[in-house]
Amino acid sequence: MIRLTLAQMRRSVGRLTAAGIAITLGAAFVAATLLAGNAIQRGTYDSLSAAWGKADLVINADQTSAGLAESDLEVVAALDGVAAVAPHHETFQEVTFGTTNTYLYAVATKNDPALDAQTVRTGRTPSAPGEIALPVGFAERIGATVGDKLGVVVTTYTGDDATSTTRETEIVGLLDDPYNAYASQGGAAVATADELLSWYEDETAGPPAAWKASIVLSSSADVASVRDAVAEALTVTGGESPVVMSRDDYARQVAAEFTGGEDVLTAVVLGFAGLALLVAGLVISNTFQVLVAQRARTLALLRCVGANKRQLRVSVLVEASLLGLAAGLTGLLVGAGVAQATLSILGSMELDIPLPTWIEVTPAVVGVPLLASLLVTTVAALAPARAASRTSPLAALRPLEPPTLRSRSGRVRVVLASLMIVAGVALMGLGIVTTRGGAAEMGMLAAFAGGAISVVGVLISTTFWVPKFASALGRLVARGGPTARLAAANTLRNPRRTAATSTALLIGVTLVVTMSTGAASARVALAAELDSQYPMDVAVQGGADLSWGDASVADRSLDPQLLRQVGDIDGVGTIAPLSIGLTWDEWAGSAGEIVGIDPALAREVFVSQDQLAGLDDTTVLMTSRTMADRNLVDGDTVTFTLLPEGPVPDAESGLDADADQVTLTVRESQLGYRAPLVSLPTLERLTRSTAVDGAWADLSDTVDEAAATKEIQEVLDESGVWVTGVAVERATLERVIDTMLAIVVGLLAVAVVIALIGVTNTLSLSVIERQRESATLRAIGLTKKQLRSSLAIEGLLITLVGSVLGIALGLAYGWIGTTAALGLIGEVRLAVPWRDLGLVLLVGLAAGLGASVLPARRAVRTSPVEALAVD
Amino acid sequence: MDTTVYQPTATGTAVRARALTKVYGTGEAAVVALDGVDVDFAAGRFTAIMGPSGSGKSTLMHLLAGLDTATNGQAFLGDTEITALGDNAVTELRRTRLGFVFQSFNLLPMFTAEQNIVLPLDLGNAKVDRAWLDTLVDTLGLRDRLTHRPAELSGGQQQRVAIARALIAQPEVVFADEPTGNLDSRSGAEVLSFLRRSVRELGRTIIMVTHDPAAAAYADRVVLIADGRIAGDISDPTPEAVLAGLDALRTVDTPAEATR
Repeated sequence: MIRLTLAQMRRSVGRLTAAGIAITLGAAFVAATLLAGNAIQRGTYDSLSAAWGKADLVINADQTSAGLAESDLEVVAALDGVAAVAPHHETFQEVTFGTTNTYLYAVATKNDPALDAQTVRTGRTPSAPGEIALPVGFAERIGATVGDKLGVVVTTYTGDDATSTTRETEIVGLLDDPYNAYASQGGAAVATADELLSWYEDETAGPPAAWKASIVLSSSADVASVRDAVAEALTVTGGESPVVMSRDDYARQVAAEFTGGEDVLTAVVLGFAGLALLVAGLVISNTFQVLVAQRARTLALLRCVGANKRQLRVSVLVEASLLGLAAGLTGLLVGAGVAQATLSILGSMELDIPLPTWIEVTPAVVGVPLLASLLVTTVAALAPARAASRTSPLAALRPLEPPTLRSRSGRVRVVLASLMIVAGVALMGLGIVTTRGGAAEMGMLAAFAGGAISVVGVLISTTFWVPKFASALGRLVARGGPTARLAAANTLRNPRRTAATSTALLIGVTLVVTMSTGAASARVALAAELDSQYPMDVAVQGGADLSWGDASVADRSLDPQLLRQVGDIDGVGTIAPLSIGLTWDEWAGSAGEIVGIDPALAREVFVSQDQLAGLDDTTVLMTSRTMADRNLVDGDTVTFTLLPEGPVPDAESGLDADADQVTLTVRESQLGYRAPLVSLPTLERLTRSTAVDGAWADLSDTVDEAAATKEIQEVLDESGVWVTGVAVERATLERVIDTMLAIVVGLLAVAVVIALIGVTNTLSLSVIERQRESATLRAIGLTKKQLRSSLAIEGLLITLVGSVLGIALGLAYGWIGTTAALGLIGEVRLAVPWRDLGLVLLVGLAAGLGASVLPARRAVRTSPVEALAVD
Repeated sequence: MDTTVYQPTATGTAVRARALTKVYGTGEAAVVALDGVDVDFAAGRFTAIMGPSGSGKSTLMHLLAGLDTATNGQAFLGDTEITALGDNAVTELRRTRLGFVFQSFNLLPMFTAEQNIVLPLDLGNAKVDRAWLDTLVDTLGLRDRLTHRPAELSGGQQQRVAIARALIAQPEVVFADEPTGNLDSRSGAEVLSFLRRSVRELGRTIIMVTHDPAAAAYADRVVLIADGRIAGDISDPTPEAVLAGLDALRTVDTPAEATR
């Protein structure tokens, strides 16, 4: 029997290959995903491992309360087998170079060169205080070289005060990072431990402890025993003790923490891969159904000659398994190839992500795709195998009857499907209500579960309503003339076959449309939310707090020249400057900031006036949180007092006896988020001097918000000013949503491609089946062109059924999903992503047309005479 | 031809039908293909079943061979009641005790002639009796065609391979359904004479369905069937006698008896 199976496979190689490609794609997807996950984990591990140089052991004191003191390290250094111990100091420090202000990651040099991870390219490593070595990339970015002076901004805290000074350091060397040890931090500068410590010394508390240390062992030492000895020496009674690990173990532990998130990502992507395999399974099932129908006579002959049902069934299953294995293996190789190519390309691009050079092929990487392919193919072939076993031996004796797929509608199916759909919809409704009620997680879970159940129900029931829809569509198309009628009739003669092919496409299209709809609705909903919260397009805001010791705030003022420049930018409309000053806050019992704006200007800037409504000369705007802190409600009053001239007093006693006091009514508004907001006249009354500290600006509707915002940022770059605003938020949000959507659709694209392969398969198989009929038609006068168009229309019909139904389902699920997910935010507006829908339809139609090209050529090439000849 | 090794199988009845009935469809669309047929087929004989199209001759053969289920009545292969057996058992029968030759599409196109011949044994994992295979191959003149695929064989050669396959398991009965329908007259005559030789020299039992009087004349006995009922019986037929019998079927309702 196995010989028979192999012989039959050899005969159908072409058709099996086409179906096999579907599985290959799915398997490649799975393999590539697993390899990518491996690579990220390995890369992170390698990088972490490299950061510790050639250390044998790592002491991790993060969980202790005091860290590692000098004495601790001395104790360790004295132990047997320990060649060197070095504390690990690291910091993220603000530095200045010329006009550039930026942040730099730095580590201390270690006393043993084996523990340093980087190598010197030019110059040398620092050996004394005041010296620093920079990573090459960073130096190039700021335009510094050996011999230049780099300013390190050191902030010292004495009690409650903080003072910033800039320490000058000399750049003595440039460093290479050959092992990508500090790739994720963007390179590490190196300075001596003393120098580094001087950057963040807290004068009152003394020198800080080290939280990690690395140990190099002498060559004869036994790692395990020294590790235990060190751990014991450092044991702290009553509290957490430092943990000692080998360097590899430590790197592995940290990598695992980092990649916890990666594992989730891998799982999600694998979900998509699973989907692709599912669709591939549908294609396989369809292909085998047709193959079995085509082989009806051979199967019947075998039954006549003595093959029993089991033998026939097993034969089909064996064929499917062999196909699954072969396709899975090919997919594995393709996936590995793609992964390796990607790694090599990314590696040559010098990104900041640590990546290994070669893919790591683990048993899982080999086993999972192979097993999955085998499973999917075999399961998909179960139904066709059963159909094969049911071949009646009589079919061999009636050679001229065309084979058809038997139509069976099971009552069990109807009931089951209906139940699942009803249950699913109910769950989704429940989910929406729950989300509205506040329990967002439960609601989403319920909605998701409901969605999944109802989808399965819908899929089970496709054999009922898809053929009906195909019939209706076919009847519609049939009005278009004789070729259209022919095409429609051919599609309708086997509605189950059409339904099976369309279902594969349906799944892919539904998912893509669901995601698009969700994204579109999310965009609309979030944008509306943003608009109501932050009604200004752009907000420019001064950086540092007012210096507390200085009553004169005019130094803080934003250069009016800058504001004028901003105003000159194309697309920037009205600018309403914000003035800030100090006043005596009665509730706080100290001086506090207060911000003022010209209400008239503000009204021009704002899109929606809600937030501004309460502002006039008698009111102050505060956020709900500030009000909650002060136990205020809308309508209460607060009092501010004008500060006296000179230094700011500490207590109420320092105020002038007859100082101006202003009582204002409190109104709630988000605009008071920086400090309480008053009108300009009120501000004048409450403060000695004011500085323009920022502005709110309005962008005209026609301008490209992202571009205009970028220009504003460039104008204000050097002045340490924040630029934010709805325009920026919205642009960022849209970018995020669009990127996520693109990724998701990209992942789904594999499934859709597989479905389209299925369409091609079906069309070509049905052409082969209908050879005699086509020949007869040609004999009685159907031209080649008409035959070709008939097939093209058939292809269009099949894909149209799948696309239209998929769009309908996708819209429904997308809306339900968005309502469930964003219901918490409040009003959810449902959007229709017309552009995406149009694209989907176009792709479907093009694919349907494309799928008919090859089969049409084959059909047209056969001469009527040879096709009509009796076998 | 050494026939001493192969004695004719036991004389007696190879195949029997008792009140065999087959109805297709239900209610209004019901078609009675066989209407309570009683007939015996002798062992070691070449019997032809003849009748006009739609007479139920093919249906009769299908039921006798266990290829289809009867609505009513019984069919016997020797002592075994075929109509009472389950599918697996009947399939087993087709491997070992029954052989088939059809009008066309007898062979599996991807196998060689030899593989096609031993197919029934292959399916049952039974050993091939080499001596018997050699006898068949030589009798049917297929020695130099064994490694060829069906596409490389002429119609007559294909049918001979089919006959060899039908005989390889040394079945009790061979059923042939219009075996010469697709062949030209010379190949057809060849096939028919092989069939007769396997009865005379190899002691087989063959039941053939045909509509061709010339083919039927090769048989030892012709059973005439019309409208689902046995309509006549001709022993040692000549083509003229068979033709006369058929004509009688067409014109007169009552069964016609014709003797030589």
